[in-house]
Amino acid sequence: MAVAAPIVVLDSTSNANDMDLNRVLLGPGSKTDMGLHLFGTDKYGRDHFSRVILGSRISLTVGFIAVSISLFIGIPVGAFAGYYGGRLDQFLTWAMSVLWSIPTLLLVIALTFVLGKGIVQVFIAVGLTMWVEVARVIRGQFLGEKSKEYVEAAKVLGFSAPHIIFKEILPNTWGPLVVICATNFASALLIESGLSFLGIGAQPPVPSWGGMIREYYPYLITGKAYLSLIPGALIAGSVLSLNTLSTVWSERD
Amino acid sequence: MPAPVVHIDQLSIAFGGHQVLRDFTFTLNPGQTIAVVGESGSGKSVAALMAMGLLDKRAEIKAGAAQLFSEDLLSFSSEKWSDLRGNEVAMVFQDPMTALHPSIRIGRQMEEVLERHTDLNRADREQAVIEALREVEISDPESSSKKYPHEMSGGQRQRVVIAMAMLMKPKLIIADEPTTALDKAVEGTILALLNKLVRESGAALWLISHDLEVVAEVADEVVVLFRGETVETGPAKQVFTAPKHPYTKGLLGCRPPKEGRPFPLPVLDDFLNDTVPSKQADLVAPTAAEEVMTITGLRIGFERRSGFRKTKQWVINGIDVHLNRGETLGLIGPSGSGKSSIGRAIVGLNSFESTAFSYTGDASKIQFIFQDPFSALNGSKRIGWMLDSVLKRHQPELSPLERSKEAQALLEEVGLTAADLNKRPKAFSGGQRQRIGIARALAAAPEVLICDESVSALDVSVQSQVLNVLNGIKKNRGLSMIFISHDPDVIRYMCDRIMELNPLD
Repeated sequence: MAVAAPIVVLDSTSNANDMDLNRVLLGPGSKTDMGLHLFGTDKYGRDHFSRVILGSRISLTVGFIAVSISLFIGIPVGAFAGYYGGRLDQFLTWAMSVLWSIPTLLLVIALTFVLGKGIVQVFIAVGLTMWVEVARVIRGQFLGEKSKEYVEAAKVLGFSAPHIIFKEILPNTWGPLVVICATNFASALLIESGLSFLGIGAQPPVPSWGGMIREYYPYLITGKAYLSLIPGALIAGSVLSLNTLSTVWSERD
Repeated sequence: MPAPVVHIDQLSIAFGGHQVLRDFTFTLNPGQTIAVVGESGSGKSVAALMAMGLLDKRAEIKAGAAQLFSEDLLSFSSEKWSDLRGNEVAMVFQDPMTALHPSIRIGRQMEEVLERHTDLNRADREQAVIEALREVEISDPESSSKKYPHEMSGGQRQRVVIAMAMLMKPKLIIADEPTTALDKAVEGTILALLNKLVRESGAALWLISHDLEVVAEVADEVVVLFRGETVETGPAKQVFTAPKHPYTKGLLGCRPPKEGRPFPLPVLDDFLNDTVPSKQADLVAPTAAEEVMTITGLRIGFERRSGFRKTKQWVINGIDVHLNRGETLGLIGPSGSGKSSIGRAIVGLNSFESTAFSYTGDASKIQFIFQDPFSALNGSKRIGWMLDSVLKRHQPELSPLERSKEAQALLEEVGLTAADLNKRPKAFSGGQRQRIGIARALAAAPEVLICDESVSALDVSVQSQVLNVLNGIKKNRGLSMIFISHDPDVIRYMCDRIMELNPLD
């Protein structure tokens, strides 16, 4: 859907920002000179359907980039801690516990104060907090794998530590890694929505699901509840499907 | 004649269309010991699991008769089974460490059985437990009953498991490889003890084992299974001394002989195809003594932490090891003697101290063959990748094409084919994996090969094949070898010189 956005949306302006005060708050299915408004229009007369679709791009981008950043930091940290053990492990585990103990949302808010508001800051902040989970999983996997004979065999064969860590052990941690990525992706989506709802995520007029809920939650008690319910349902749906995906993956043999 | 304890007629068991047992017929009378012998995949455990009601629900069972105490056991309810198990039918498992709960005192664990099946009071239960421990010849049963499983040796633990099985004076005892996890030296005594207790109580013993030689000592009758088929039955002594079926002959003939060192050893196919070579030239020790490796004053210790104090516990304290070119040095000893630690220290997997360590080549020329063929290979990698990365590391001058040719040659050297390069370890049997482990070590072009219990996890018929591969490459490449094993026959056959190690206290 996110990829097909340019074809399915009515409003081709970059942020679906084509305002027209002549068509504000039309009901779903209304027709104007723009075409059919499947989900109606918002209070500025923008096509709601187009904005919902484009909003998925923001959410998915945040998910992808945050997960990538968390992998980029989490894999090496977890791998080195688990593989080498000893003082390095103690230090890294301590650092992880410290970061872990700070509520994610709070940390993200603090980071956005430092880095300023905006979508880029959000995914950097989310990525920087989520790597701890990745590192923990990877460390646990490495602790289990490193005592296996194939690792000892690789040592005897004279392979270097980076070779053993990245080429021998890492591929065997793939299963749990995929699971944690899917769950992290889901929580990144939630954090982004939460932040946008609080007004420190994506800034208007950029359409984002969380921002749209924020914009329309007063309408919940009017007849236009769907304006905020639709993006809400999409967030719930995406998170649910990602979590289901990760469960299926982890139960697969 | 009293009614048989177990009577099975024409039993076939399949899992998802895959036949694991075919036309198995078996009658066990009170006071009788029958051994079911076979290698992995022979179906020897499946029938016993069925007789305990422990078979997976997906199993497709077809039987003319399957009776336990003259009742049709296939119709038993799960309540009936749980009344029978531990009470009238008891089981002794292979690994006493996993059969016992690690964090409950053994006396308490045994009492639980009595709690479940009797209404004795606490003092009587304790008395019964101590009595049972005394019967299995555990020294000082009163204080032993207060111990945790990890405070006992493997042999003692298995005695506890036997005592637990005998507690309720069962009519049938099923022992699945009861001595396989134990040292060779205690194996015989444990089996004899089990047999004695069972006979005294008038129960029947159903013994399952891969080792015909060991069970022949105690069993009245033997049933030999091969790929789910019964190939031979008869009195134990007769089957052992005069086997009729080629497979049974092979099972006995593949073992390294008690004397002489014929090379190659006959393998199972020789017996099945009746192509057993008559007289083979013996392996001989090299005549010239040219030292390859000398270690003097070797000490290996592990740190023990008790509270805040760190102490070092030595497993090897000041021994000398030297190895001549082209010779096989054997290290033998019971578990805890530190024989594996020596091998691991030489390749740098253990830290060690020594007054002098000299080796003529560079360290990468010493390679290691591991015990467990399943964990020694990286499950996510293809065989080709494994060999290629070792070749790249040790012979960087080779081009990719030359490397793939070399990898192919290595696999052929250990009796596999070029097609196996694209497979992952999962596609291979234990023996084949061990060959891959050997090929991988050879890719580093070693001068010394250290084999740590490298054939101990393998079936007898596969063992001889792998021993042949090892002796073959040693001869062709002029390697020196350190061979570590707990099996005296294998050590005697393989080695030119033997070092015996005993545990330090």
